[in-house]
Amino acid sequence: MTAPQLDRFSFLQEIPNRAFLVGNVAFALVYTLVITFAFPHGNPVLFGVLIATEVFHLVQIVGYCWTVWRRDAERAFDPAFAGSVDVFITVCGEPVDIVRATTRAALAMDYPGRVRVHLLNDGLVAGKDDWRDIEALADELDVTCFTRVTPGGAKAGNINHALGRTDGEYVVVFDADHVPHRDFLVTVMGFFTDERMGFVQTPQYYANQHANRITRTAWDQQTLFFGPIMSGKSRLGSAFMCGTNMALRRSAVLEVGGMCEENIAEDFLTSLFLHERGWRSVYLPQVLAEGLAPDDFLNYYKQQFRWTRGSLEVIFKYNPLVRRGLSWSQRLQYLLSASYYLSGAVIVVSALLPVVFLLTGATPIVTSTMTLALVFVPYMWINLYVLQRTSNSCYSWSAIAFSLSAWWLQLSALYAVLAGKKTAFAVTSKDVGDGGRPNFLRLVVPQLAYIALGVVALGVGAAREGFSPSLMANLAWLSVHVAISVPFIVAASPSRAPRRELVEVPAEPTLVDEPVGVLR
Amino acid sequence: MTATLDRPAVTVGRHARVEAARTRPRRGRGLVVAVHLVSAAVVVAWSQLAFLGRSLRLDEAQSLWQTNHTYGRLLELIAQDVHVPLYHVVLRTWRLVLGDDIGTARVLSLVFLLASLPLFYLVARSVLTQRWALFALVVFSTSPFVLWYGNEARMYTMLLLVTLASQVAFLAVVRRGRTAAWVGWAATAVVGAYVHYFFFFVLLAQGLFLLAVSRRLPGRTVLKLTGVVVLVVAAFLPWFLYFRANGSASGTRPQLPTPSSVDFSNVYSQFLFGFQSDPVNTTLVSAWPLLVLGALLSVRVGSRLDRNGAYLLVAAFVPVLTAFVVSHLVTPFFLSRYMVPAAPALLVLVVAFLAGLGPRVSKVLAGALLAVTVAGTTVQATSSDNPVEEDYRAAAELAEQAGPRDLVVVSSPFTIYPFEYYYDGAARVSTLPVWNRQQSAPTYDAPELPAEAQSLTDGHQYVYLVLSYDQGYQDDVYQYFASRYEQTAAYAPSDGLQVLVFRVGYAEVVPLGSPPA
Repeated sequence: MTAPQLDRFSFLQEIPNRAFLVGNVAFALVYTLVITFAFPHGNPVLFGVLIATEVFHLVQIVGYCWTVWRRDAERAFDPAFAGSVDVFITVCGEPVDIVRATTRAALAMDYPGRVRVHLLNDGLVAGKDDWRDIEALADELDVTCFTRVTPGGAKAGNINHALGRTDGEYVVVFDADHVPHRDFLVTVMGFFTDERMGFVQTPQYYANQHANRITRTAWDQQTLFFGPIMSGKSRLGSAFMCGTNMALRRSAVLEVGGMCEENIAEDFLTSLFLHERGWRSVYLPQVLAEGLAPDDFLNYYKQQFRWTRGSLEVIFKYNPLVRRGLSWSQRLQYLLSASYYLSGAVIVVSALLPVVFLLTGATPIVTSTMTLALVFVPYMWINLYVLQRTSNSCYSWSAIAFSLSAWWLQLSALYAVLAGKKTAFAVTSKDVGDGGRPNFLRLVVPQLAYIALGVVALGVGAAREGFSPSLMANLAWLSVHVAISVPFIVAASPSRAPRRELVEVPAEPTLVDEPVGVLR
Repeated sequence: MTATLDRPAVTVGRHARVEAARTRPRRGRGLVVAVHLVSAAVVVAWSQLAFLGRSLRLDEAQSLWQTNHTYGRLLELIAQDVHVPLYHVVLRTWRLVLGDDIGTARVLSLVFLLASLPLFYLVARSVLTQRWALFALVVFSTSPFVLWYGNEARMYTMLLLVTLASQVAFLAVVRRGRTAAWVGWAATAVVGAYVHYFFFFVLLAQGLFLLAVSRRLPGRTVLKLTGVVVLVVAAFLPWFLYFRANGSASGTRPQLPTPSSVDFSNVYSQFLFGFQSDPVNTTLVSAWPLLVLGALLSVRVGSRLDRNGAYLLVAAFVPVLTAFVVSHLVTPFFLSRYMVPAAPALLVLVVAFLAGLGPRVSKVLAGALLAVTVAGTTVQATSSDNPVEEDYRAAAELAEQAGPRDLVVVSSPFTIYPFEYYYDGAARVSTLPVWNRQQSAPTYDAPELPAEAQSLTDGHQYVYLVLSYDQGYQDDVYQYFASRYEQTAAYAPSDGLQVLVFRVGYAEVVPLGSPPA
């Protein structure tokens, strides 16, 4: 039943079993209908909230199964394609050694056409100390360096700045820490033989996934997205840019005014604008560049916050459902992707239901806890099985736990979007000095508060109910929610006993001149 | 030219490696033998210490009574009952050879359980490493549910044995599809069909599973499956016709309630924790949301449900679920003991779940599982709240206080079998409703109750009313006596079993040993 050894690219390999997808939707539908209509209602407010959360889950499940139903199959491809390419390596304070490895790999890419590599240096406008080192590196490697002196637009602004100073027909973008394989261009550029192909996206693979708990979990979360989800989106004409490891048609990007600078998730929104104008996209499920995952809790948190806020802004400011030019598949796909980040509100509601019961005795529905189990457990199990199966067993408990524990992050992002506020993080990513994990517990105070609230509620509930089945069931639910938050809290907590001082990044030895070492 | 975007799954090599690891030449055979011997010793020790000597239960009395008859009459009686005959034929032979007391009859069930141990290990080994499969075997040998039926003179451990044999053969069919495996599976299918009707649900689950995976199996799987179905139908047809000719058990079916979700969950609770008191059982099943946590924890990188694991999942849940649905749609027959074929698969799945956790966590939780299992067996063996214990021996000893002028009235009528097995008193024993035991069991007729009761009580001083197995009229019987006569004593030898003493006559002589009013 277990098989610990997996091909490191196996997340790209699973072909979904449709019987399970149908079963998942059927179980979800039955569960939602039973919850809604078959049981007597309890507290009307709680019932309404519960139904809203269940409908949200149902929509997400149906959307997921629809997305992963089939992978993108075939696209027009010209192996001799040789359009001119500008390679943009976006830099914003990354260590020079890391940028050097990426640049060298970019220079080593095979391609029959003209290729120019450029370093897009935002170190100066971002106030990074080593911005001059990047210019020196560009001289060393004989590539162009565009150092912005006027801030604005973040990464999108950086790319737009370079777009105005280059003239290749196509643009390939790599983050500074994403090392391309030698065959990136010859594998990707041929898709532009389709004259309406606006961009090609490839997976964002984390070569440092085994470095620590954070990188491992961040990668596990990526596998689902860059495995079945993006392949499904590609089939539905809705694959969107993910910021790096992508190739763009310059004319398409310029047609929509360049990369969108108004949104923190510029790639997501620019994709939407491109699709709106009828440009096509394709996701190539083949690892052609290897990068670095956020390696501490703060960086992970910031990355997630950025994605969440950007996605939620799309819902509230650029609602895909009312955009002209998009097909219905594209509208729904964009909405599904963005609305995933509303799950924070749904999760917190689910987590609070047992607390509310313990504190007040109020329940959303009135039924035997075992009857509820009979409809809920199969639904839950098949749901997780489909998740596991469609990810080709690359998804993990900690990935789920991190996703479910991000409710405060998502609520904060939702508030920031609705209130139009900027968000700053009042913690820094400084090392603890002995090589251990820094202390980011301030970021999980809401989760800790939930646990404290749960303990208090348990006392109140036990005093009122005694040792009843309802108390037991709600205690079990409380335990589930607490257990889910444990990996998130542990990841944020300080550590003084690192396992390794130096973690080797498993780069492709034949493709990269020298291995990259990352200090934890 | 086009580019292909969906790459085929490349898992053949990995599966082959896993398969090779499982079927690697056996190392530590001595350890395997030793653990089997220890497990067998554990089973025997538990039986001797706690279970073999317990009071005869109703169903056991039925087994003894039926197997007291000749083979021909035995078949006739079984055909009129709700069972199939193989166990009873074997039991009669066993008793003829080794002795006819209840202890000897129970030992047959114990033998079936002991024979199940290596088969259980083989099933566990199909999804577990040797170390974990041996651990599963130890847990199995201390399982309260299994031990209970390993010491009951009924067919449930025989059903367990034939199910495990069937699963071993079936897993071989699924794995390689060799002819020998098909023959073995077909043979166990025919035997199982004659052990218990529930076995058909096992076969149904296996058939559905085979159909689901048939495309990936070598040879003409569907054709062979059809052959097995035809064979089983042909083999079972004579008994079915005989059963129909004997009335299809229309007069002997027990009145069972339609199962609820609580009954469904109780099946699995009893598989794992045995028969516990209602408060304990309620607490255990109410913690079901922890299954959600278990499901979440089972999502692990590289963890896949392979074909063997998928089959065990089907074996653990599909037969029970099917029985639950049929009990709602056709006729209620949902009793946890009928579901015993699903118990081993569930246990293996639980151990497989633990084995997949981190090494430290899995060891701790494995220890906890074993501790809980042993505790469950201990409580089941010692608790007076055990819900399935029927102490007719104690009831009979209480009723032996009755004198020649008293009467013992047993209701429901069929409970007279276990009662009579122990009763050696001076008072006459009758049933209510009154049962002429040369005929089928009487039906209850409320208007007739006063007349029947009056006919019984006339001329007697005390009535010892032994109430158990409520068939829907127990309260009527009790109210009849309670409203007319003075109740002088009340006992509850075990859960659901009462002995009530009523003074129905007023002769000057107080019966010897009469309990105080």
